[in-house]
Amino acid sequence: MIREDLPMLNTHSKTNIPLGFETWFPIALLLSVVGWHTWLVRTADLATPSGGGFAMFSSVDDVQQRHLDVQVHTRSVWVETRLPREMDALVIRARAVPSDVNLRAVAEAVRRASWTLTSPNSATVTRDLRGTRLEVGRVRVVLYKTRFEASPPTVSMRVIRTVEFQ
Amino acid sequence: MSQASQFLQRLGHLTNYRLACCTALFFAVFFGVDSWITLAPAMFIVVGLLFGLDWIEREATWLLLTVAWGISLALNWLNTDNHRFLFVYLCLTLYLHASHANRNQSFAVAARLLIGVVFSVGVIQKAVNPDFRSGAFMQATLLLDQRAVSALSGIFGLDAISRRVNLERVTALVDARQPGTVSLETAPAVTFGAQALTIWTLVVETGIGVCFLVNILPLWRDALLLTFIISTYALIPITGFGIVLIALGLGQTLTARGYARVGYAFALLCLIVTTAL
Repeated sequence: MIREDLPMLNTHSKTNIPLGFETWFPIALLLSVVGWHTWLVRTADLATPSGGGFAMFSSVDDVQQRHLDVQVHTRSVWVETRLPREMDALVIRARAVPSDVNLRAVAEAVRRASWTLTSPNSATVTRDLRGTRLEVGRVRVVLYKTRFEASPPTVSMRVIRTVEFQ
Repeated sequence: MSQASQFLQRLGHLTNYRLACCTALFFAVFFGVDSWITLAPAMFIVVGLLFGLDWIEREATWLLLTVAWGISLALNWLNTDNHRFLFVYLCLTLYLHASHANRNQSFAVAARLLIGVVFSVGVIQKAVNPDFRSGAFMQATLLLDQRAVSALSGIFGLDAISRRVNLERVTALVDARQPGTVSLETAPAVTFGAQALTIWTLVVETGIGVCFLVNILPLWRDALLLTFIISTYALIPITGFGIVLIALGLGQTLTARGYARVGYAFALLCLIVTTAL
C-alpha cells in the first residue's frame, strides 16, 4: 500500500522492464477488437462508433441516426407497429448491424407477438392486451438513415434497406 | 498540518497500482448500476472495505471484475460505450499485474501503453473518416448535439432559438418516417469553429498517443492528457471515459513529486462536479 518499493527519483514509467504477457495481452486484445470492429464496419455496415473500435466522435453515422420502421400486413393493408420495449435489444442490434439475420430476428419477434389496432380506425397496431388479436401476414422492416451534409448544413433521411418477410 | 497538505502527502505516498485500483473501483460502483452483473462484485468489495477487509489489490478482486464486466460487455457489445471496453482492459491489466514481482513498475508501463494505444487508435479512426476530416462531424455536433450545443455553439454565435429550431426540424423529419431533407440554421463562425475543433482534437490526441507510446516528455504528456480530459469532458460530460483515463493516468505515475497525481485528482473532481451540475 505504501510506496516503499519505489526509488525516490523514479520519474513515471521510465523503467527497463521487459514487456511480459501481463502487459502485452490486454493491448493485443484491444487491437484485436479494434480490427474486428473495422472489419464489421466495412463488411456489415456496423455503425462506426458502436463496438469497441474507439471510433467514437469520428463519424455522423451513429446508431441514433438509424431508424427502424416495422409494418405488418393485415386486413389487406400495411400498418405501422408501435414496438414494445421488450424488443429494444433486437431493434438496437438491427440498427447497429442491419444484416438479414438481425432484421429477420426483429420480423420474427413481431410475427410471434399478438397485435391489435391502437384505435378502431387507426393505421397503427400495438401489442394486444385486450384479446382482439389481428391476423398478421407479412412483416416489412424498413431501415432509414439520417445523414448530415456540411455545406450547406442539411439533414436528409433516406431509406437504406427494405426487407419483407413472409 | 492542514487537511490539504495531508491529502497531498497521502496522495504522494500511495502506490500507482493502488491509486489505479481505487479509481477503477470508484468507476465500477458508479457506472455498474445498470446491471446486477456489474454492480454486485463492486458492492461486495466496498462492503468488505466497510468491515475492514481490504481486498482492493487482491488478484481475485480484479479477476471477478474482469469476468463480470466482460460478460456484461459480451451481452451488450453493440449498445455499449467504448469506455466500458477500456474499463475491461484496465481490469484485466490490474488482474494480470496483481501478483507481479515488480508490480508498480510493470503496471505503470502497461497503463502508459494502454493510454498510448487507445489515443493512437482513436486518432487513426478520426483521420481515416471523411466525416471527421472534413469537419462535418464537429459541425453536426455544434448544430445538433444537445450535450455540446449549450456550451460550445453559443461561443461560435449560434443562438438558443436557432439551436431549438434545428432540433425541432430534425425531430419532425425523423418522426415523419419519410425520405426528405431539412436545412439547418447556422452562423458564420460555426464552420470556422468546427474546423478549429477538428484540428485541435487531431493535434492533442496525436500528441497524447505519441508521448505515451514512445515514453517521451513525461512532464508534458500528463499535462496534455489532463488538458484533454478537462477541456473535452467538461464540455461534453462523458464522465465514464474521463474516469477510466484518470485511473490509467494515475496508474502510470511513479513519481514521488505528486504533481501529476494532484492534476488527476483535480480532473476527477471537475468531472464529478460537472456531472452533478
